[in-house]
Amino acid sequence: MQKLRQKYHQEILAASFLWPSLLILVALMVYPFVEVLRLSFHDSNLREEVWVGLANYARLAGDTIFWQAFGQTVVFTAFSVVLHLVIGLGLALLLNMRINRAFRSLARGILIVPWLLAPTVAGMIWVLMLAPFGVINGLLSGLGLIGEGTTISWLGDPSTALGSVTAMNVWRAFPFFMVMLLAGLQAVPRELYEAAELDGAARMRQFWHITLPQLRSVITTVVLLDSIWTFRAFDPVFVMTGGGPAHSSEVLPTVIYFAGFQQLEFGYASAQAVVMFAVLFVASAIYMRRAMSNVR
Amino acid sequence: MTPQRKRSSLRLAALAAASLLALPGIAQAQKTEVRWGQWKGTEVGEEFMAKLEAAFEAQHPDIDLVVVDSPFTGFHDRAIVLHQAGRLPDVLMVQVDWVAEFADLEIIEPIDEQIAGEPESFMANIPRSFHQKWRGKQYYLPVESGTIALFYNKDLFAAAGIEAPPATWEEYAEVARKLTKPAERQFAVTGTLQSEPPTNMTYDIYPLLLQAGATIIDAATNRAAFNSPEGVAAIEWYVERMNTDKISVPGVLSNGEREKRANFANGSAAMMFEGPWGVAIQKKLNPDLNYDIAPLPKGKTYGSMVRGSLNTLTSQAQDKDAAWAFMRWLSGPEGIEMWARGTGGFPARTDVSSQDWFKERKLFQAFVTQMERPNALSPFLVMPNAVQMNKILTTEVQNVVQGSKSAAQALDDAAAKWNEILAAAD
Repeated sequence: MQKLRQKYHQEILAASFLWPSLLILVALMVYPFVEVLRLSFHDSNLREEVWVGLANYARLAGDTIFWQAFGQTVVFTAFSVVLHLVIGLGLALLLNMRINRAFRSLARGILIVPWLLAPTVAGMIWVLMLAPFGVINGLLSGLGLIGEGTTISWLGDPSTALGSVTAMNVWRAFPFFMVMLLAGLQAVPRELYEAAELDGAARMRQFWHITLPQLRSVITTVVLLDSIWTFRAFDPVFVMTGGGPAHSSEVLPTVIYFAGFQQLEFGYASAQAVVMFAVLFVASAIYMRRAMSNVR
Repeated sequence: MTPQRKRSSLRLAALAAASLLALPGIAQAQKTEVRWGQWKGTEVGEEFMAKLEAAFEAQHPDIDLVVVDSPFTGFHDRAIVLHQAGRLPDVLMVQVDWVAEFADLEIIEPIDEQIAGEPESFMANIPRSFHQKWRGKQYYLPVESGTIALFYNKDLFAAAGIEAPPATWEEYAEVARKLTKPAERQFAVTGTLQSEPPTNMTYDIYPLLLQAGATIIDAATNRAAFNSPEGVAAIEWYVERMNTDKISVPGVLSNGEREKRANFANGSAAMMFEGPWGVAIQKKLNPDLNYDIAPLPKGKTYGSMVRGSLNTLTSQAQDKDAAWAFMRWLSGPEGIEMWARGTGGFPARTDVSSQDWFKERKLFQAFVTQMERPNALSPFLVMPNAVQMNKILTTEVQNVVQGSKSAAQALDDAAAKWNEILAAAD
């Protein structure tokens, strides 16, 4: 025993430093997850619990609103992440150019503002901007894109509600990509570009063969993080449309919230949450595996 | 005095001073604490809440009332979470929509025994809507109440040559068309069918159903009854106003109470369906607005919704007698008068609303008339999950307004979902 203790002295010491963090992890992550998993096999309104086996999952299969919300969540996430990447990368490239230093600092400061806003606050600002007599319609009318006096109800029309929420989400979170990619760009060795220039490579060629490969690990990380954050984003939709009109902007987090706190079906809401987690987990794992294998 | 005696004297003096300082604390400790969870603090102001607390404690020196204020947004969910955590206050303020739900979750307790100990006049002066029981038991006492009436902008009415508020559906449709001038960004009303929170049924839809002669829930069968020909006619009439006459500020499916109140305050909407709480809100938004209030227009018959803020006794109340002492005081004549005078709310007792000082509040008299008319109802108090049921109907009426369903189909679909909930609660 004494020998063992001596042999694993370092490991035991390390574990003793780790246990407080592990305890917090178990309390805040493992326990809630296990509890949600357990609840998903019950019919529960928090007062009574009845074991129902897989009934909640079977019900999910035929729940049209859940699957509609699932599809809308995928669309919301895909558009948000792609546009975050495109806009964030574009601005990072611009800010990485040799431009006036003072202007660059000012531009960075201004462009990061949306990311500093809480999603609820950003949502409220956009609700006002998208109002029928709000600034967006005024701007479009001023530019002649819509007729004078025409009022588009961006959040009240089922065909534009989800797109409007996506636009807000794109605006709010592109600075995260911009900042991370700018940091990545600044770490790319200048010698690579100098060598490419000597070889006569055009700017576009340099972008495809130097910039993007050098940024791959940063892009992989931010795309993964953003996909997870957007897929489980509740505030933008809840604040701006409440999932309406007629479920046209419903996403999985709002469906789960309504099932739990409005319909008081916490078992069913837990089953929905488990499915959402499983999808996110599997998608993230596949993405990470593919992306990281390319990096290696 | 020797140094030793001097030290002893100082110790004695310090002990005496400490005992004196501790006395109020001991007295405080002997008081029973009653925690009142509510959301009104930010609306009525801390100063009024402090006065209310002092007035109650002056009459109940053995009780320490602790006012726990939380924002209204999320209050419902917070109550459920607090219940789970065993941290509910003793007295909990609720909306009419939450009574049945909270009773079934055992968050709140019946108060029939306590009411039985009160004189007959105590409940006799509380409006009849608030006598509705859930599963045969009374769970609440009203703090403030009110029915929905028609607010109208007198200046816009005069400018359009309209002399009086509409008294019937026909008059309402005609007046609304006259008041709608999109080029000037002026509309008759703000149609409010926002998805969340689904409280807008109270203002736009339920009164219309009643006025058309429809019944919301059949009392005999406890099943949805709004999908009758009368109900369908009411929804078709509403949709015609919104889609054909276009009398609403654009964005019917995204407008909520906030937009409705702002549009009325800034003159974009000439009328609005609102409760007496709207008087204080308009005073804040536009104190110079020249408006009056009339009872709702009549269809086949009268009809309006009664809402209110109610106090309930929680299942986790530490001292139920002390909690009840506060509930009965605040919903009694003295508490209701103080509340109505101080907050500008509508008194939830007829022995207060009939007092001379209240009759002088001219804007509120339409609510008194409305409250006395037939069909001034609060169906929420007997709906097992009013929030969810309101949401279902909101979504289906949204479907009709956007043209994806007929009124008959939408109401049938909503009724089927309501009946599932009602059957499950039987």
